[in-house]
Amino acid sequence: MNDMNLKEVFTKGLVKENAIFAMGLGLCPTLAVSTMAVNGIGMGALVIFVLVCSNFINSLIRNFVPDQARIPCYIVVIATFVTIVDLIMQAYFPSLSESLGVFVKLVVVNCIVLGRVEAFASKNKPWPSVIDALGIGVGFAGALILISALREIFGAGSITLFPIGNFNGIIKIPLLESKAARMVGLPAGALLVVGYLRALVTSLAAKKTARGG
Amino acid sequence: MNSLLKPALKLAIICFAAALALGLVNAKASPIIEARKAANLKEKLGALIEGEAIADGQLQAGQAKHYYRMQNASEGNFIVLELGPSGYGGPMTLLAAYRPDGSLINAVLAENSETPGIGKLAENASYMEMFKNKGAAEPLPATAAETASPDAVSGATVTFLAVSGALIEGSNLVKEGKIP
Repeated sequence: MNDMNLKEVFTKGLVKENAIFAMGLGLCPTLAVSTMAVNGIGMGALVIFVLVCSNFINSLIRNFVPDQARIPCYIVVIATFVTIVDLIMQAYFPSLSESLGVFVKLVVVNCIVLGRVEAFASKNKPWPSVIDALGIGVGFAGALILISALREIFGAGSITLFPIGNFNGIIKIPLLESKAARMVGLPAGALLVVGYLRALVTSLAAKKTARGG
Repeated sequence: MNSLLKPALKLAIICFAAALALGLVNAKASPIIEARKAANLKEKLGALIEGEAIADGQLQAGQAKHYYRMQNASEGNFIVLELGPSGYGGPMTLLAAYRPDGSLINAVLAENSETPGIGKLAENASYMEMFKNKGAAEPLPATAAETASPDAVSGATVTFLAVSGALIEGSNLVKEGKIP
């Protein structure tokens, strides 16, 4: 695979084949954890790590994995990396681990991860598989951070980031804080935000196609 | 048989390698996780009530996981229970201090995954005011309607029911003398 193809492999996952807005994958954790910006950043980083490691290892062992048992083999590898990340988060990022809760473990059955292993890593060499995972992962993380930030800004009137030193991580937005639309922070609001953003992305993509881009 | 044996053997090898990797990471992370949980619990106990611990132990009674027999100058002997209700976002840890007659001295919501701005408000000290000094002659509120300000729990009913249910269960355990 040459450099131009690798660039296309990476960039297609950002918008054209974005996991949330284009393919509608991984919606369960997206809707559930996108209540605060810091959750979006944490879950996005987690999925990128698991995607890259799973794609790399599964691509390395693709000729060793028996066809009859390929799905269990893929899931064992994915579950190993998810558990490693879960343990590291509990040890070093406990508040983020609490916020993400059970959805960390649910990344094992996230269709984005298993889907990319089955569709790409199992048929390609390790380096292109890593690039594909990075593209899909960064696209997913970007979409998740955008959704989380919007939901927190309009649903709670604040943006929560990682605490550093004396900064507790919470940026309160004047006016919005006292008049936040609480529904945006609830599951119904999550569906609305994702729906509108998906419509916007689809509309922009359609206009670009019509212009011949 | 041979056609199944080879794939099964390969899957076993992959599982063994995965188990090895997990074992190594767990050996490093597990002590840190346990130390952090113990420190967190100690901090929450300190926020709950001042006192000297006399005895403690594990419990296998419903949502009650651990008990601490304590005493201080103002309350005399009292019991702190570590309760594990399930809230909107999953399992929670609730620390509650009871007098021997089952009335609640104070409670603190420790570990939880409740929604920020909604269920997470139960972490505030003021949230537990509606439960304090109840559980003996005056029962602990079991529904939002039984509280003095139902609006305070509006929109977070699941969290409220989890907290109140656990506090009532703890109070009953103390009243029935089921704490060693």
